[in-house]
Amino acid sequence: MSALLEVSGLTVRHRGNAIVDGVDLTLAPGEALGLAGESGCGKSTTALSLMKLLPAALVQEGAIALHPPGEETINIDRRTERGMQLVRWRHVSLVFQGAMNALDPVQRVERQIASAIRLHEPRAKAADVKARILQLLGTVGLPARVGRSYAHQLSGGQRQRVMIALALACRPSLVIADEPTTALDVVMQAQILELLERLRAELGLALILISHDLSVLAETCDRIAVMYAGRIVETGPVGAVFSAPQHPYTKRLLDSLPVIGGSRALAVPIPGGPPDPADAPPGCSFRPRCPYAAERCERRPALREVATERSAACHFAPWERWPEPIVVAEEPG
Amino acid sequence: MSALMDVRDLAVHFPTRGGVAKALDGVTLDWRRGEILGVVGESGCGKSTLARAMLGLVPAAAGTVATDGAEVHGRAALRALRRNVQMIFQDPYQTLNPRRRVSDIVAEALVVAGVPRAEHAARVERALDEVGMAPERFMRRYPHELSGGQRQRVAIAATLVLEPAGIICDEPVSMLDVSVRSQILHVLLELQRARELALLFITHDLSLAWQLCDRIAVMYLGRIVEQGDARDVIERPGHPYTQALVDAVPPRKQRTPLGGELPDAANLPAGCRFHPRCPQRFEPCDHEDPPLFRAGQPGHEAACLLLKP
Repeated sequence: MSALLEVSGLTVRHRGNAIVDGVDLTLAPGEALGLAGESGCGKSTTALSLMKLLPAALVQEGAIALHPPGEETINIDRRTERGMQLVRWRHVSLVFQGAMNALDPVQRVERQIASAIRLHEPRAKAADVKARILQLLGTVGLPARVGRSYAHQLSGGQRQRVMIALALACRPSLVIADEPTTALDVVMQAQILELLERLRAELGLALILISHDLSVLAETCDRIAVMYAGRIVETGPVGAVFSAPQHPYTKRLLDSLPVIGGSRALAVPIPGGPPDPADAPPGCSFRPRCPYAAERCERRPALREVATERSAACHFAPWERWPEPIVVAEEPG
Repeated sequence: MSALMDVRDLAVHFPTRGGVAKALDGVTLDWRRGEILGVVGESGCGKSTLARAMLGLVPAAAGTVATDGAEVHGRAALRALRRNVQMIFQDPYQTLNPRRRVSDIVAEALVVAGVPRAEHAARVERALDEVGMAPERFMRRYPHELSGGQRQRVAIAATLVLEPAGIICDEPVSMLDVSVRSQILHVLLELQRARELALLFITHDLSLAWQLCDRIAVMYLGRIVEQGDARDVIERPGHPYTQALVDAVPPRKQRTPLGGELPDAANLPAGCRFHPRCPQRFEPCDHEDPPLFRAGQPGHEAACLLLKP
């Protein structure tokens, strides 16, 4: 199958420091890719740069090509701001992290959805737009009366559903969801994940789901890419990455997830915090926190194939088994 | 183990436009010395209100709070209780005074408690040491110079200086990244062991409760609907709501999530308050309000009519 999205060498700089550093991604139509990593690893910046929504202080480089089914290829990296307006919402939509704050507080929900539709279909009849809005609200499991509500009258879960309805309004082939469930409790999170899965199946949507929570990605995605300090350090099918991680960072993240029915012992925590992009260590950026770091880690490892469909940026990959971690000097993160 | 805090039929009511919201509607709970007790439930179930009401931070409409067997009445008793039971909050970015240095933030409780100044420095240093923050490196810093995890460590250190018997932790790690989260949990657990602290852990994440807690209490709409040994409750839930919370933990095996949202606490459903969302409701559920029934192991009880003997 040909790719829907091809990203190569995506780099985002702030005052010369790379916050996203040479990210390559491909996504098939209808595929769900999970982008995992902790705060500051560059995953949200990656999402924004795919829509060219970065603040002016950030400079992006690298090729981003979108191949919407049955339409001509769109070279996002070469589009002007005006050109991007025809792409956003129509071909790629973004569900923001702060869904709570992303809705306009003084406009009714139906008006916000209508303006997204009208931007791309200025000649649509009022009755058709109205019908579309009702259908969209139904699709995301909201009653029709929500259309006449203001954001403050809705719960967190309802607002997130409105955001998803907005993202779907112009029938894009790709939706990027940035931490869509982080502010919600587990029950609401389960409902939203269920909705995203259903939409994928019904509409053939491709999805990039960004989360710091690996267990959220585990249930929703086909493939995951783990980011650390601006780079992808591991990719692969979700089940394979979970059962046999190939990068020490992924391994340690997975170990720290509590699993009901599993061990109740707390895993040895990863010491310290991620590096400051302005002061990144040379070589492997995980080296200062890695229990397995050795001399060769002073050279930067490239992301390379270590098994079928599996890549990792670690000199020691493929890892057959994981030795007991050596405790690195504790530095509070 | 004796009870550090004993809560009996505690109720908290808030006036709202839609009527009186019963944020707590008769909660009975004992929190033993040295115990890690989890209080779990969805947003709005009353778990944070319970924590606040236990320390008298919101007025109770009914019920009693006792510590070490003595009912808490009056300002002096409340002050003593708040010295002995401290609290840390979810958002380490909002709880620390941005204009004060770490050393002053940690010393604040000593000032309030009237501890002689001469003792402050040593006690602050000891508390910072205990949470893994080298005093000489961090004492002079301001909160904006710290990461989220470091701030939460400072917040914990600030509760330790008065050497409390218990700490109420209201979602202390839910805003932190995975790797930092496990560091903070380590700090809390080590303190709990070393000082024989009691921890009351408020969370919506059952996998966390499963890992940390000795016992848990599940709250729904201002009531405890199930409580008991943590493993017993999570592995063999007696209440359909607890089962739904367990099933909601990702990655989910059970595919259909619990539908709907928490009803308005000003307009409680008749009968069992969970019945409108309950997948197992039957005839009496819409008019009979279930008390806690025994569910399996001793000490494990759940408020569900399916368990009515």
